[in-house]
Amino acid sequence: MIALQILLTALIYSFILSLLAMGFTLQYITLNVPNLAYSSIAFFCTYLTLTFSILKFSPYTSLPFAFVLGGTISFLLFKFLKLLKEKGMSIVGLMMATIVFDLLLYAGMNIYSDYLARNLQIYTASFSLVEFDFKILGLPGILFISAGTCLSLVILFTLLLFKTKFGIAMRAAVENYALASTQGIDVDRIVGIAWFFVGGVAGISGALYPLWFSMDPWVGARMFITIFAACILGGIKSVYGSIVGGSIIAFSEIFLSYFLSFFFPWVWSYRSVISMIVAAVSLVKMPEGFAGYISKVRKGG
Amino acid sequence: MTSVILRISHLSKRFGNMYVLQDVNMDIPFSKIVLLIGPNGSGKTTMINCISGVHIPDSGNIIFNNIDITGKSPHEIVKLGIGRSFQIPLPFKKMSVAENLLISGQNNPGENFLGCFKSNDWKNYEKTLLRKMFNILKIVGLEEKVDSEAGDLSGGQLKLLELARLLMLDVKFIMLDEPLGGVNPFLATEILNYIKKIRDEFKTTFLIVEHRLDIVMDHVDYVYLLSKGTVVAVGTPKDIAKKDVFYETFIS
Amino acid sequence: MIEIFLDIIILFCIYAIITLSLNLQHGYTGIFNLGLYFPILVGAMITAYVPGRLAMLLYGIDSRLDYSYNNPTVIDILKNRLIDDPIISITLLFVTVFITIIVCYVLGYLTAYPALKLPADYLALFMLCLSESTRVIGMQTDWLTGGVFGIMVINPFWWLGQNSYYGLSIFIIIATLCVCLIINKVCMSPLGRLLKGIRENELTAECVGKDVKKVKRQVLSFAFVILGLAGVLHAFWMGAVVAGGYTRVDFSYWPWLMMIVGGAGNNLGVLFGAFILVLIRRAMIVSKHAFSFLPFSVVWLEPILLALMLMATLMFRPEGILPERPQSIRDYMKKVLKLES
Repeated sequence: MIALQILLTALIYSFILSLLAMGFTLQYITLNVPNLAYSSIAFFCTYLTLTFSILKFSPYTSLPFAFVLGGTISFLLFKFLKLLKEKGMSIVGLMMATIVFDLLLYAGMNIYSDYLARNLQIYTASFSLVEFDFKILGLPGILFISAGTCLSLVILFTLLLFKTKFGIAMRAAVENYALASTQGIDVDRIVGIAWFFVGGVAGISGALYPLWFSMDPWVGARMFITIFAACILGGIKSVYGSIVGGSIIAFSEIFLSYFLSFFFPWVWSYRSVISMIVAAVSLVKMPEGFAGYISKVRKGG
Repeated sequence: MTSVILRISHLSKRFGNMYVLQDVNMDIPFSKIVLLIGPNGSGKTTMINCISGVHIPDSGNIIFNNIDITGKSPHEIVKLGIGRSFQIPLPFKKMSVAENLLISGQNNPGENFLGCFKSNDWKNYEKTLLRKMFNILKIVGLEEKVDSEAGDLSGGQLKLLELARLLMLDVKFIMLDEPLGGVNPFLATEILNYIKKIRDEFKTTFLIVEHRLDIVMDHVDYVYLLSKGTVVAVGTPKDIAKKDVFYETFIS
Repeated sequence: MIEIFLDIIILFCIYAIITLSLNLQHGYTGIFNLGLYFPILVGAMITAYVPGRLAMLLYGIDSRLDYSYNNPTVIDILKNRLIDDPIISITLLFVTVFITIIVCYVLGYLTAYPALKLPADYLALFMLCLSESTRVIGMQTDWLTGGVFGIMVINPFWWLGQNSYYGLSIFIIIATLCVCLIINKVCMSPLGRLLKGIRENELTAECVGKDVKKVKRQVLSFAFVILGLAGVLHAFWMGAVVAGGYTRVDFSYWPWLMMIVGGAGNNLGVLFGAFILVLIRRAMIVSKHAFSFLPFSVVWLEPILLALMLMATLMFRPEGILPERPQSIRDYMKKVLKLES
């Protein structure tokens, strides 16, 4: 049934996108540097999952490894950024540093693709691992796994942030990095752990992606647009906002492009452009995103 | 009876839930030097920010030369004739002192994308501007530093640069936010004398925020005392010094 | 031999134009634009669409043929016509340039409205995403840019016969010189000084009576026009437009490295940076035999090289090889104003 397919696509997409948007925002608010390599980290790990399935393992078994890989890359980037920050580097330089990682991952993904094509005759111009998925009640396993991951992470994050010392320390660090360090909080360790964790989640998101969607070397770049749009819509500095933004963008992309494709069949390929338009419009009309809108409503207009 | 060049009526400004200015009323008379004093946090810099367009007041209005300037953007307000300096100097750090001053030239024909190609026009303008710049540098005593990067100047020199930049602007109303901070007393008196000279020669009006009352009181025409966001006293320096509220405000 | 030499020169010209535009935006005005390839793509797309179809119209070529879907056939026909027609050829060239200028100017103005509201980091991201979206559109629109496979464009110098490639090259070199002269005029004028002031401190600039927002919009529009021109020249030079080839690495990150390595804020430095890096990139491609032991294509070493150079420059010489220095007033009076005292 087409309607069910569309709904499933929208749901799975929104879970994965929310995970990614959450992570991106978290990295941004902890270091005040948008991580341009973020999408590349996520989709670099997709190739790990691909490798697992080439080796005849279930893609789901790659999840813990994707977590570690994504987390490690993210942590290394964090260290590099810390080093540059200590040298007094401006935001331009720091973003350039994330570009360094983006480039290395970009090269890495393409080198691996090339290698698979030349040496193993495996062509990764477009692949999908849908067939490796399992089914529960006739519904694809990826739906439950992505939903489960997303929801459990939101709960974990909320608990962590408000109920543990670690979370309180992290909130302090976000509010005022310098001040928090004078209070005896090892801000670097906390933010480092946060970046590792977020990188790991990005890795998992990337690993889950091909279990429903088709993957090609340009997905990373396209998804970056969508992640950015989700964060803008939700409010640049709000983690919960990016979940809302992610869900809205995901559903808009899928439903809008499906709906519009009845009238304009070419629309389906322009999905990420739709997100871009939504982001641009929301920037003009609602510069602080949903988070800002809600706090304005709370304060009574 | 002198005319009023700037009238502030019922001005209020809050940040979050805190009111920094509450229902402030002020009349600045034409071609006079008005001193704005008050303890830290009384709202003096916010007042200057509201007048110069950096902040938009929450209520009330500001009328300058019969024009309502409330909420206008800073560059429009400069064009209407109001200039201001900053409490912590904000120079163009990587640019030389000369460039800092030359930028302040108004209506430079070379400062837009069409005009920059008409070099004869702007070269003539720049020659006049340069003459003015050298004059001003002499007056504030920064001649030696003409090619130094602004970022390399000392605190006191930066204050002088702020003043010099204002003099380049050709404005009728100048607001100085702590112009004497970090300046030695001899130079401070020189500056104040020069301000009086500008007032007399060019009929420029000044609004000065200053803490160094010992030096400044003798050189001003009127004083406004601000405390916790409201005006608590107005008068000539002699009158103000007699009022109890003057001492209460600073001691409390 | 001369082919390789010319190839480097032309590639340098195109990157010189791009990097000068970037220097105007970021080095001078402080606009952190990571999405340089948006207007470049627009210029390329206009080149993909306009000259071929206009030529078809002018020559009354069979309307059953579509420029895009019957591209090789149409190009053949057009070549046979244009080879004898220098006037139409040059007209097509200038019409394309003219349309690009107008479109890019308007786009620059429109983009400035949402974009300049953003803080620096998000502005960079926004421009990057805008560019990437345009690339996505380019890769999908068969009728405009031939989709994934690309589309061939005419050579406005076919009428030179054997020398058409040289004719085009000379045109590109002249165009580059013009851009250099124009940018130099802008930067040496009071406008250049104003742009640097805006970069240093926007608030102060506002408080000395400058309409900062308007100036930044104009800078963006102007810079977009220059980038659009680079796109047009690149498209004609390549003889084809493949939208997928305008990647963030090739048309945004490399120019950024060129500017940073050369010296942001210094036009000469930036040109120097562009030249050195074009040489290095070409050297790498030319010597790919040395890398043939690698189990993958040597092109993927380029982004790695870019990453390493970027990292090294950031850590050890962020101000670049020819850093920016304020001009002494005496120099200014003598050289620019031609005064004696």
